[in-house]
Amino acid sequence: MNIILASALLELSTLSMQTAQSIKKVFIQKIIEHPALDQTTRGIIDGLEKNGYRQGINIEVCVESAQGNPSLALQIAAKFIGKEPDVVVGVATLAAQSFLKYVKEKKVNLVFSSITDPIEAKLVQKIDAPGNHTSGVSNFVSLTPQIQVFKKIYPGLKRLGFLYNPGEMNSLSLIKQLEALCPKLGIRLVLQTANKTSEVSQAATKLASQVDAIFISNDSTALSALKTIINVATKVKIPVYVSDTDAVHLGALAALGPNQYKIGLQTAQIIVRCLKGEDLSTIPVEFPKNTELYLNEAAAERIGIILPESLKAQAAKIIPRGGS
Amino acid sequence: MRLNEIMMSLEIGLIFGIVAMGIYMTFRVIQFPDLTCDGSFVLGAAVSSVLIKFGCDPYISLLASLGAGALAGAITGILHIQFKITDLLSGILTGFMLYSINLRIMGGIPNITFINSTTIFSENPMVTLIIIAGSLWIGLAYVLRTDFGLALQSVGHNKQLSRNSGVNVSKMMLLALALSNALIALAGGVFSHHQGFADVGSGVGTVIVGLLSVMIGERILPYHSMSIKILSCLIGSVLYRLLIGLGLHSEVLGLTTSDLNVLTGIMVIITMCIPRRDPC
Repeated sequence: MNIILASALLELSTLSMQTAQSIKKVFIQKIIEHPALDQTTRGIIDGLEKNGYRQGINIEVCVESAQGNPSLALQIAAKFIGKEPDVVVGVATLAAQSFLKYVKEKKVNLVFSSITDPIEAKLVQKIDAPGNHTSGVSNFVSLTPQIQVFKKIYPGLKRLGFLYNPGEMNSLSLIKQLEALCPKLGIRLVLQTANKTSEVSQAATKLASQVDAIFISNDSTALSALKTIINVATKVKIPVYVSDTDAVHLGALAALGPNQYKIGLQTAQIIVRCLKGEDLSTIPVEFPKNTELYLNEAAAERIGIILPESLKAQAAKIIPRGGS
Repeated sequence: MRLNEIMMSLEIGLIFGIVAMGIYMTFRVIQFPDLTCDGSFVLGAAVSSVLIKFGCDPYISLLASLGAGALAGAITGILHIQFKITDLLSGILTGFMLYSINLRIMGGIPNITFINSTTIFSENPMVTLIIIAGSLWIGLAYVLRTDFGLALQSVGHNKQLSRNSGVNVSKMMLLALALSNALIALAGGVFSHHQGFADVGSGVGTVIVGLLSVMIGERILPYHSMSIKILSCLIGSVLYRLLIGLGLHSEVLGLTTSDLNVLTGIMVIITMCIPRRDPC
């Protein structure tokens, strides 16, 4: 019975292949279902559409999620390569790495998105000249302005807590930078690990008692359990800062970071350049073009902090008192 | 499905077939539900990738994976035999602790990439994999037919009887666990070579995939011969990967990737419902 099913599937997929001859093919693999990554993916699709690539008319866009599983990521990559795509897109490190094998064989153009350190992930050789028919958008934004905002909100900031999963590459890259940066700004960095979302509440409780503020940056484990961290921090009246602006409405005090959706739009620009015939190897890796400041007055009220007017004037969005 | 997808399914299937052989050793041969696997799979990948990063020969790095896996299995065995911790818990504990140890081995870096280093794979990974999986099949089938292997099997059939027949049951269980986890760690190492990177999170669900492969294989090839039983682990694993590969084409049925698990699950159920032939 499954043989019948198999041959039916085969036949259908070859049929769909024949009609797709003249259309550009862009296949996106994201590593897991996650609000930030979903935003980025939506940005990519919308960005392509803004540039005149319409799904089903002159472009075939396909999105797959590897459900956080590296061996499934490999199989999805094989499926994509089999359809001879013009560009494949990897959203987050593992998804992009699953195409490495084909990139090495020079079989495919790879655009990545939302990767903090593409050099450490061995995706590109240099930021200016990536090589390997690979380029993309990193989600790294300079940490100095972020910490300056934290200090403006609370000048007495001496100990900054950083909660992260040691299994996430992105967080490791950020810690390296923070460790170099914090002493210069007169701040002591307090690190706390949590291997799983279920460990976050205990880790956050311990951390909250040791620091003046908690900072969560691009760590999907910590972000998934953000609500818990905020509850714990609010109890001891310390603020939680994030780098992901979409997380502010969940109750974080402030974020100065890239808009994930706009990272997607920016990624789409690179894809378009590649579709028009430019060689990815020579397109420099891009970083988020601008950062936006999001503030949360409701959160400020809960922990008894008054947000400075000068910052409010800069904010792209302020969540009002009585909000979430 | 295109040829390269089928090839990829076969390649991943063979690698996880080695995991299935390891699982078969514990779950079936000595009847020990060993959950160390999720940890020992990554342990193999971690050991091999770190050694390669320091310029070690890829084959020697895999031997190191093998050794590390054996050690991990032995720890589970010691926890169970020496400290009388139940079988399930001792495996869970070792696998649980291995997560931190793996991160230590990898130098605190969760993702080691070695795409530009020499690995065991050259132009055609299929040939290398067939040689590795094939020789492990022959080796394991031979070992299980020796006196030692028969003693191992007797432990699974009836502990009391084999103890009465003069078999050192504890020693046999320890060796079987070591052998099983050595195989799984080897598979982890081979998988990291195949991918070009090792990730500390890649072990999640190894035991489920392995066990599923064993069961699919048993259903497809219901023979009593030990060598065919071990071969069926490889075949079951390959078949499972082919089913996932097929499931990935679910868009023609109007489904998305998030429905993949249901679709793969249904195909596995169909496979399991194939009318049972009499074992011969």
